[in-house]
Amino acid sequence: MRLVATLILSLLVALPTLAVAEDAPDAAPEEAAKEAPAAPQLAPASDFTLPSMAGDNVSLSDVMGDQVVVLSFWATWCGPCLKEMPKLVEMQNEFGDQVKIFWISVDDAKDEAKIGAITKRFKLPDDQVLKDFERKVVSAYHKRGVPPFTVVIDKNKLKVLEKLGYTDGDEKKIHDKVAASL
Amino acid sequence: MQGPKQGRGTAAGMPLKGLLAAVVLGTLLLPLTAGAVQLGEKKDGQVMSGGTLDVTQTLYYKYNVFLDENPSDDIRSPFPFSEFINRTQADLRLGPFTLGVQFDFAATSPTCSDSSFADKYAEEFGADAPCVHPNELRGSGWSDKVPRNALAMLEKVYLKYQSKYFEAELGDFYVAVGRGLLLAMVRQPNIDQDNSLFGARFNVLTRKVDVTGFVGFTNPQEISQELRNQQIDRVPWGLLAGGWVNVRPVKNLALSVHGVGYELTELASGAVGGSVSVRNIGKAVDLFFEGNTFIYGQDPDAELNLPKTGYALYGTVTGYAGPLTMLFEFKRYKDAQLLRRGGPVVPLQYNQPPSLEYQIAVTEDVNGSIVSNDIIGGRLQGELFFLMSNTTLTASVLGAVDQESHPPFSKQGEVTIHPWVALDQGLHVGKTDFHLQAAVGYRHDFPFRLAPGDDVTDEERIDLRTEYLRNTGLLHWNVDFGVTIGKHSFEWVSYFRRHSFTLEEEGCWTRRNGDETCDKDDGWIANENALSYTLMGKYTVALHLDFTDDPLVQSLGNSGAVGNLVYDPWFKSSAFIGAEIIIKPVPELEIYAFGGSQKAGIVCTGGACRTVPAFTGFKSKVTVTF
Repeated sequence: MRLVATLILSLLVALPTLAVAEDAPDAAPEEAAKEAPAAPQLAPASDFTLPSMAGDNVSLSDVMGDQVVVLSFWATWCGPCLKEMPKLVEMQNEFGDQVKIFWISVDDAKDEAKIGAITKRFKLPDDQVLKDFERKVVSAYHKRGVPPFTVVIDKNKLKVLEKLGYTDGDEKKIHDKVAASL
Repeated sequence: MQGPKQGRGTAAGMPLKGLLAAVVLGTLLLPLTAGAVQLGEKKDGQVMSGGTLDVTQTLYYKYNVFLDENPSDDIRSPFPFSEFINRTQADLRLGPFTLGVQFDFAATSPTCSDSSFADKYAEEFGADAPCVHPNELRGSGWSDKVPRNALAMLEKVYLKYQSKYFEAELGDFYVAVGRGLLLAMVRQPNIDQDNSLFGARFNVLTRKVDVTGFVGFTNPQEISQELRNQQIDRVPWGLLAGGWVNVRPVKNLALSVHGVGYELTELASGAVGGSVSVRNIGKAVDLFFEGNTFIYGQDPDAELNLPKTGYALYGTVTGYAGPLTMLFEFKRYKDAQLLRRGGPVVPLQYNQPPSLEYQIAVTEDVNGSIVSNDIIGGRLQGELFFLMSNTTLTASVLGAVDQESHPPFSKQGEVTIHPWVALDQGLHVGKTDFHLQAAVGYRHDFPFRLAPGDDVTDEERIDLRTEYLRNTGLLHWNVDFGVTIGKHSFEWVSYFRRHSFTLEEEGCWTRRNGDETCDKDDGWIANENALSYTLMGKYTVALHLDFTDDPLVQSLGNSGAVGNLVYDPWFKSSAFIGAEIIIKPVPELEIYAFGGSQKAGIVCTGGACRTVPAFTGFKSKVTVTF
């Protein structure tokens, strides 16, 4: 029991120091901002270059800054990812050129044929479906690297939302964050 | 592997030295790690030149109490134990450079070095009984149990340079060549393996041409300390080198040549190949083909060598028209998966060619279709997607001829036919979302006798006829049904597999429940169910009910694997009932508790799946990530 107590105490002491890396809040009201310490600093999105299903190499820096970018890390074996996919397609259609969604597959290379079939199923633009078979990008964005994992990057190139997992309704949170970033 | 009988789970003394050191270390690190720290200047909210330090700090605290699964026998449950793990992953980005490390610290309590625990143990089993730790602390890649209560390991270290047209990496990196037929050394969370290479790599990325070269030593590790059931040993480092050139001369056409050299033993081997991809033919068809040749080193003094050569061919045709997508895959692998190394549970495999097989149909008995060195097959899949109704209908049929025996599960060749169908249906009614994903299929393996040769002698052929020659059937279905009302979400996930063997002649054996059986049919059933409720962003509660009479699934799963909790290998129960709760008061903190019994295998909850060893008792875990 001493151990449990020690651990809980340690966590309680440590929790206030936690930086909010996930689900960064919207701009705080003025009064709250005055009273509160500086808002958690948003992390910048790191650039990458990945091959797309269209065959070209795509760099995040080509669009980042000009558009709000959504990175959706997914896999063919990931049920929640396939639930989320049509919701994001709707979002892409709604926001048009203001937003660029990249569906980044973290499958194995052997599964590329399945990726192609799903790309066709959901009518995903080939140049927005990227192949991260070596997990170099997903591991840079999230150390666990398990999909579904969604990142929203604003026009300041900052990660304003990082969301692990998906259950029905989560797309509203992503939608709101994208809309607030326009 | 069954050690001396262990004492029933009473309060054992806990040597806190190592554990407290870990807690203190973790606590000290907490204020120092602040997600992402800007080292450079900011201007108008934009990150300018400068650096960023990303630190991901993950702390696990686990406490396990074991119940006696079978009080009527004299085998006692293990002592309870605690385990603490502190994983630090840090990336320092300075302009185009990234310096990264992963450092793991683990501690467990109690161990036999703790006098109070040793006294308890002696009191239970006598002073002469050799003391056994309740938890075998084992760093990833360690071949021996560590008789200590703490260890620290620098698992990964790397330096990367990245620009739009050029990338270079030193240290740990991952690499996949083509579709994985030659090489796929990547991180695989679903099987808890992190197969990096330690060496150097460069990529040149231009609009028309990509060039990649790499050289490195294998550096495998388990991803999660809590799933130490994969038996990845610290194998002698194997040296790998290779590269590829991709050319895109015109739009929709891609050509590639690639090669890999393997020096995993004193004999070097190699493989070369290429691929061609043509897309949007008539705006309706995509084609892909890859072919490779393997050349294996030969030792003239050895009695037994690998074959001199092998080859692997793989291709796909994808056609699409309106709501219909058709996919045809074919493969021909001959002596293309001979290079592997590692423990007996999950051998370290260097390539992962497409198998064409449906994931749920991959069992211990049919793994030959996944890793076969003499197989030809094809798969045709049709998919209809209706956007308006959010409906996807899928039908697939696999046909394959496997001419390699795969003892002990199969000592004959097989012709495999595997059709399956699936439905994915979403429905939105008012404020309620329904979602159904379901699939059902049946795989049948028709056996045939292999010709006498290197693999099968005449005597073995007689044995095969009576003992092994059998039809194998696998009926499977799976359902994932979810209902979401506002922030409330309910989900039912269920998997079912019925594996049947039909022998050519009658055979006798002992079933899992002890009954003697003589007939021409035996098999097993495995059924896993999870019913969960989630209040979004707050917590998930789930009930699990699993059942199996699979003789290969021990109550504690993978019994005998180093690093696993070996408890009662003769436990006869087939049903496993458990409940769990996951609380997330803040995104960075997760509190997990499980009580009951858990079958070994893949467990899915709240939209996430993972492989777990079986368990009976109570366990809790606190995870802090930031």
